[in-house]
Amino acid sequence: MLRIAHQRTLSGIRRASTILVGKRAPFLLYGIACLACCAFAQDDQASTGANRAAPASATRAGEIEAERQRKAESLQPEKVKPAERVLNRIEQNEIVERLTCQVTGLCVRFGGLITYSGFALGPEYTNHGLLGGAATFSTSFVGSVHEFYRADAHLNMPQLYDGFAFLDLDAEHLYYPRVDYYGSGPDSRKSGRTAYLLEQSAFQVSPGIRPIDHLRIGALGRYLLTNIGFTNDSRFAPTQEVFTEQTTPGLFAPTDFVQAGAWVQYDTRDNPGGPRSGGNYFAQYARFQDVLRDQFSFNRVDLEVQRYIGFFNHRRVIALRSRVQATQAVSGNQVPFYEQPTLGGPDDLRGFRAFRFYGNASFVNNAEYRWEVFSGLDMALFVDAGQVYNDWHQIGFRHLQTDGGFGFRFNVRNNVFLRIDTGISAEGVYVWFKFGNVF
Amino acid sequence: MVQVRQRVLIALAALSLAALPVLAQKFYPDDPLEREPRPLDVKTAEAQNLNDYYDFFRNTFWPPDREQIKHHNPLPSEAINTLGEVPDSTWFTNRVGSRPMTVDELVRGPGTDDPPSTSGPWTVVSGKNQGVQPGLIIRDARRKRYFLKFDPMSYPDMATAADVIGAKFFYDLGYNTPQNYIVRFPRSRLRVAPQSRYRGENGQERQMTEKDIEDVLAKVPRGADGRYRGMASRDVGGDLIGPFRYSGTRSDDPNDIVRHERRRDLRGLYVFAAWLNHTDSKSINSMDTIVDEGGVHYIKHFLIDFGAILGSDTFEPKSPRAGNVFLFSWKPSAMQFATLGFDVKPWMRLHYPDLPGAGHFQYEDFDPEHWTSNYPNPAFELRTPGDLYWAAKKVMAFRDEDIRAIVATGQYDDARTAEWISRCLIERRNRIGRAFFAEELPLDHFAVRGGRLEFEDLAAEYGFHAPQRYSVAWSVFDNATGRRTSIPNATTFQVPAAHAEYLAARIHSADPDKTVTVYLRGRQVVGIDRTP
Repeated sequence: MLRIAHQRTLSGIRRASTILVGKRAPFLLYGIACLACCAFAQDDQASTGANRAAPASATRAGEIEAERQRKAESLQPEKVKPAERVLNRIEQNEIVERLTCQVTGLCVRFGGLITYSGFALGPEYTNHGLLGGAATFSTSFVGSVHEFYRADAHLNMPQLYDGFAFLDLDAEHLYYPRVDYYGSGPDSRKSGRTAYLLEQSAFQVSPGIRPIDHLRIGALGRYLLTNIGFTNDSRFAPTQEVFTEQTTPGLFAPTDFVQAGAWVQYDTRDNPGGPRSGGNYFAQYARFQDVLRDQFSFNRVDLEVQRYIGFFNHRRVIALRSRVQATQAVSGNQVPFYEQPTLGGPDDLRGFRAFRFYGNASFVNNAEYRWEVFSGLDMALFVDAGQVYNDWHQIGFRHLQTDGGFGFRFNVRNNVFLRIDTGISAEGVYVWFKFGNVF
Repeated sequence: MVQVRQRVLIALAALSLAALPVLAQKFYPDDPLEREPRPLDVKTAEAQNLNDYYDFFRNTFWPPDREQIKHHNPLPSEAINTLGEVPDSTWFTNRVGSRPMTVDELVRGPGTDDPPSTSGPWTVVSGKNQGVQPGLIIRDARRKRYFLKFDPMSYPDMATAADVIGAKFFYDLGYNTPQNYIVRFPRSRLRVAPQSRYRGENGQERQMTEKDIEDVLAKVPRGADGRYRGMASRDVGGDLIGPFRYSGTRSDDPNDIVRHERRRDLRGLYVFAAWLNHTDSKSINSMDTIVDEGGVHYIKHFLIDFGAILGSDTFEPKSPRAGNVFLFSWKPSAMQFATLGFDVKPWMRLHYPDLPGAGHFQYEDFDPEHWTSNYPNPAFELRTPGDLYWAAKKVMAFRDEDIRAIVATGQYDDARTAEWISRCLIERRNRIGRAFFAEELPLDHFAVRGGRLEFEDLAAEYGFHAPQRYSVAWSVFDNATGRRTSIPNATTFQVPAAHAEYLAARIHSADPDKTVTVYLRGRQVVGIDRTP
């Protein structure tokens, strides 16, 4: 401090002497320098305690007391920086919690619609305190810039009978004016892109139990109403103008279904929001009964295996997923195209457009190498391989569509809240912004 | 002629400046100061609410004294006496390493005689069931207030033991800490107060109910005897006015005259935090409180919340990153980005023993010179070799049996956990001594006995190197001018018979860059200067 003071004063003198060349300037400079000496000396003594100089008559304790006394004469209230004040307000008013619907009351819901719907948001009301805290009710209405809409309501009771059982009741209505369709089967062409309007309403009940740790078994009952229409997006040919009822069952004859089924899940993931070890194994069977036309009844099986292999203290993870979705029409019926399994897009084949492939069965495999860049960001290199089939008996590892790419996974407390994946395939390069993890 | 006169006067001015330190005396009659003067009365000091996120972003991206940190050229530490020691103050009280302390005294820490009374129910006055870990505020039958915290379900003992052990170690090291107790209690001991407030999982505050207590207890481990284990932290008392910052000073506290990032007791805290793996040593884990002592109100500074020390991160074991790399820093992140994660650091390969109560605690990779807190702490980033040496002395003052006895107060149910924690602390302590005694000449405990200047070589004392030969050169020290006049042939540790108020003994070993200069006033050691 003292050294700095000297340097500053000396350099100041030099600068000043080159500017002031009058007769009295040198005397003036000398006087200023002496005054500066005293000023800096005083400042030094005041601020650093034991390392500083003071008049011989002083004591160390006296010096400290004098400095305190000086400060006592000019006390100011503590000031909070504007940025900190804003952050405090955000925290005190639970702005983030409200934006993410973690608290009871009205909040804003972002996203939740299908790919290509565009930026979407809407109001959501959540009440976590029903039935003495045993039930949570939520309802929302979300609209996108491309006029996609979705309204839903949910009543969830996740901890019945001390956590042994759970029950979910859901209702939703969605209106998607543009859903892509390229034709059914593995041979569809990228250039054959069409679009249709999908409107559905569903009412669902799903009770279940947790008999042992990690294991959940549930049943599913659903009533599903569907309407298919012409897309209002003039950029794409309407599906109805390119395909026929023969090539695309249900295109001109949407129907209503009663769905009934059961599912089982064995989940040993260490953290479902951003797993680094463990596995997730899921199987579901469902029967879709056409209650309107008796033309489109079918059975559907979903099988999914996820495995996470963490190494280097889980700072690196190999994440693997394999998923089969298979449908089979009951005798004399067909599977409607809008209930066929699809592939392509941010959640399976990331190097292809969303809904690029439709088929009566699909098989997809994903492998990711994930590594931690810093606490809030993991990166990933991935490869995807999958295919759709006209019949589930054809499922195999031949003639798979493949892609590769890389991704950024942003997380808070190890839970991925945003990912940016870039998939590259023979059909192009696609960048996906999505909330939540891929698997 | 004018030019000549001008140059002469400039030279005179420069001489005046150069002579300035010479005119000042180095020692005061009351040096070395062992205790700061009685604090001034604090009339108004408002509570402040520091923001954790602001603290993170500011210290990570726009730290104070950025140039000093960048160029590793911190200003000298302050709030020290002429021996380089920290005088007792509202921040710090010299305990271990400054005076002999028994095991019992060390184990007692901030106190062991005021746990929550078990003679009646504990009334829950408020609580939360959101955030990383649930907690309750209770009043016992004597109406004394405690914060009741718990372990995460899968890691019994981990956070509660860390909180108790941490409070004792940091107290023994010299800081103000709360009294923390391990408590075991049946459900029936907790009762809801009529006016209690509760913030549930939905984030809303409301009147608390008995079911809320059930919900909190459903998330915490329960012993085989049906009782719950918790950590009861005694209210530190006084008027709580929020945390202190690790930089700047409080503008409303007349006693706060040294910038916090320059305080040796906060810079040296780096070493203690490294030893105990207190990666969460940040502002919000501190508390200022206005206390009244003899009619004088002053701000006393506490360290609080030690649930995230050792291998615990309060709600889960520490990330293996903790202590090794900041949550975010440019270079390591760029390296991981560029190498696709093939830059594998040694800490990524470490093995942690399968002891849930220990969390992730290790010593094999512990490098005290490169240990990091979760994000930059301004005082830590400006640490000097002198701060490290000062703190290392205190860490080394804990004997093996002291460490084991303090760790035992964590009441780990698994004896292997206590043994592992103790072993890690002993090994980490030794690494601290070995590292920081090598940076300066580790000579200490200077005293004149029988006409000789005696001292201890701490590195030799603790077996870090073999006893060494040291050379000394005596001089007469003029306290008024700072001038030293060599005393011919005075090259032994016998104090020369010079008629001078002050003598200076410059000691060095084979490495001439490391020296210790000891100042005597009569036979009293009044000052120590160390280089580098």
